[in-house]
Amino acid sequence: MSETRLHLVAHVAGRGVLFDATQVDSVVDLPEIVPTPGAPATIRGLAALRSRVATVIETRRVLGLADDREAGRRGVVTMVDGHLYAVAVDTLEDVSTLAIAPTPAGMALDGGWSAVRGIADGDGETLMVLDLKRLIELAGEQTAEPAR
Amino acid sequence: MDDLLQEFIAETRETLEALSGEIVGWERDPSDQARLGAIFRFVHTIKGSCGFLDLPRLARLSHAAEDVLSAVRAGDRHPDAATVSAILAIVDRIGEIVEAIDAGQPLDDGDEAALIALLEPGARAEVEPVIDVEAEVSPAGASLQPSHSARAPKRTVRLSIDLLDRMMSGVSDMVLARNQVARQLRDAGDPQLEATLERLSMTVAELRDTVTRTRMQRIDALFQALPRMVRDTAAAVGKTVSLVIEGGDVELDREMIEMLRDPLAHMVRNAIDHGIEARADRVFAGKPVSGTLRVAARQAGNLIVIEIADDGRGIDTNRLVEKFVRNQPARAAEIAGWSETRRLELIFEPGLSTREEAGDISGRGVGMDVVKANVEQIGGRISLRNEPGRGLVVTIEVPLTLAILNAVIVEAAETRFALSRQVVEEIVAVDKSALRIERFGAHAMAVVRGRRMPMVDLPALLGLASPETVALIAILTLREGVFALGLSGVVETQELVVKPAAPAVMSAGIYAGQMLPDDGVPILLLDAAGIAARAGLRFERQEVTVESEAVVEAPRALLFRDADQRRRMIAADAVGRIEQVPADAIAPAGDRWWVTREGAAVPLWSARVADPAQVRTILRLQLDGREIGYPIAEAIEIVDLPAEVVSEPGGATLVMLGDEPVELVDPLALFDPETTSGARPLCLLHGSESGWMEAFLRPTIEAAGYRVVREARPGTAVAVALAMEEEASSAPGHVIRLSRHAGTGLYRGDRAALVAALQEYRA
Repeated sequence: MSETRLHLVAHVAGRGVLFDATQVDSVVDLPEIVPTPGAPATIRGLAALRSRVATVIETRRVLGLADDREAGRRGVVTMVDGHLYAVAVDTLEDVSTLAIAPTPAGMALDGGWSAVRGIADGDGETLMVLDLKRLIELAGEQTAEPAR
Repeated sequence: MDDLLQEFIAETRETLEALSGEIVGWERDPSDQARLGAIFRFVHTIKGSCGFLDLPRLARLSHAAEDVLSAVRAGDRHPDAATVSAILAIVDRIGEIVEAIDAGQPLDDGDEAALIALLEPGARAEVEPVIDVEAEVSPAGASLQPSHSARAPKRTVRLSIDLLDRMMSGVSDMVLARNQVARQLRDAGDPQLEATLERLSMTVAELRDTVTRTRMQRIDALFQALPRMVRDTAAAVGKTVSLVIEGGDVELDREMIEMLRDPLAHMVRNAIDHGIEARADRVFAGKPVSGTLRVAARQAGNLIVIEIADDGRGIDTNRLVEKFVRNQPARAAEIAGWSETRRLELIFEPGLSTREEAGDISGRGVGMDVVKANVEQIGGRISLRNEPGRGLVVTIEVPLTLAILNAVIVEAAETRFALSRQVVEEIVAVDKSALRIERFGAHAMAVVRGRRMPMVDLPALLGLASPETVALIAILTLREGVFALGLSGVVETQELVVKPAAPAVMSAGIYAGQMLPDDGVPILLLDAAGIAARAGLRFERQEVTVESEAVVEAPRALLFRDADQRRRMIAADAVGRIEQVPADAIAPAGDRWWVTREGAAVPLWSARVADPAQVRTILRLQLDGREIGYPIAEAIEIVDLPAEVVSEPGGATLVMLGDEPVELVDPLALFDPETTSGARPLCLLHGSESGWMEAFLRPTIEAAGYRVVREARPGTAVAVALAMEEEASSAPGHVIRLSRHAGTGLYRGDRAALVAALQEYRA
């Protein structure tokens, strides 16, 4: 089973990921972030995208990758259940039509990686297709930071 | 040009309509700055528009009025009665001219110079002419009425919410862009450009305000259907229910109003069908035959609270549990250990949702699970307060999905947060001696002017910084209690639109929503109740015990300047209304003077009036179908009737109002001019009519030498009690039975007979 659709190619902590272009509203340079203390660590904070407020998802943490405060300056903007989100990525390379294959049988994908919906061949690497809606759900499922 | 003119006419007409209340208010209290401001803005706008529309007459009028109003605003001129009348005459005239322009009719302008002349400070002596001019002007206005009344009704269209949202975010974008432009222009320093931008700014601000209001609707829209529904439901089950609606002016997202329609209808029907008892049962329970259903809405922080309270039988939880266990015996042991509150919540279990079962148990349950699901679907909560035998209060709380909130923007650890102005009682700086913070390990207490309350360190709670950064505290009021929130700064207050934050952010439990102020940096709205819960504050729930002791309301009295210029008082209940009477309504006939109102002649009480023909203001006093007009110079104010009464040998009753003795007019003596005088045993006014008796009979009873009370403390000797015939059997001791009708028994309006009866018991 393989299908061909328009995808955004991005990198997070050196990993190549894909987002279904139909799920993406726009792509932005993330502006100044207002922290949301008390919320899960997977939420970086709030950012104003013109007059709309978006919740910024710390993608590295959702996927369990190494933290890097300087990275993740680009945002993939999407609307889920009436709320606007910006999923932080390090770089956005391309928009291209790719053939998506299912993940190899037997691969254990847990944590943030359970948002993976397929794979595609990249430039010397395997690109993982991430479902934005699921990724955002997973970010919210993390337990909130303990008070004090 | 025509379009502009039409717009101007429509706008002026609308503003005038909205302004009419302000004008009346200002007339009553010329020192009211807010109202003065509203009238000033109106006149100012007219003046501005007249310039480019080429309407010299309006320009002249508004210009003259504006000059005077700005002098009043600046405090350079005192708004005396003459000034107020002159301004109001001009406002009226503006309205007439605008209507005339709309109708395309000419309007005589002969008296406009006179109107403007009246604004001169020297015109004070000519108060009379102002009224004359007004009288002349009105007929001209009246001739224009046909065009006025022929106006088409207000037209409406339906729009999708999506479209409104796009409009709103478009306008918000515009505001942000405007701010950027403003910043860049400020550096450039071109005054002309800045003036233009200023105008653009105002337009954008107004536009934003308007667009925001398009999403909001008064909850009245939801309540309007209730009276009919209550009437029909009550009639169908043969009950009598009176409906009380409060807080219809709370504004709510239109979408939410639609979502609440069904749950509310459900609750109201349930209350009538199952809560309020049948007539016979109510009589048996000692309640009024007619049940009362109270539906009230209010805004509490980030919630809209709707309360549906009935005075019915409440829910019998034992029978509810019994019923439930019969259906699900397996859960009997589990339920046995539950608290009363938890047992009550069985009402929301789906097992009880059919009508037959609900009818069996002593309460409701008709689809309560469905109501709960509906309310929760829109992020709301439903809770019950049950008083078996006395009623049930259902509280529905829904979040404000969209609201304009007056927010206090505060700082904690270099991050800005907002607090709803409603919960902030006070903000106190730590360096003030009024405040002391005492720490007990991880906990802290704030002592503000001797008042102790728990303190929560916002930076520490958020894990942002050490507690030393607390520079001030905000005292926050919750329904359960009060606590202090430690902050590092206060920025400002702003009116902002609140929107819900993403679920992941809300999961922190301390936020109520997010806002975007004009500088384009988002702010989170703090939820005071959530913070208290997160910090582990526990407030004892204060049980409010309802005292069965009836509270006797202090009677009110009207203080007025009498026709002989002396200040007197009369029980407010005795006054039907205060009326202005035209000169031609007063005429002599027989041996007295009469006031003719609405085709009926009312005798004028003219003992203190030199020339009854000059009477212009009367109090209409009513007693059991009889009526008299009591002439006065002017009404001063309504005051509480002082409890201490001084009797004068001449028969008059005096009360002390502050340091001044004021005569209390005896209404009965006016209806029946005979007087009696007399030391002070106790006379109890008994029963449901005691308020009436206090208003009408107190002066008579006091004149007969008694002291009057509406409630006898145990142990006090009541010499005599007054009661209406039907309630006489429940009155203590000697009772004088009063009749409502002249001719049967002791008629309550028969002063002489009452005095005689009272004298008898004294002797």
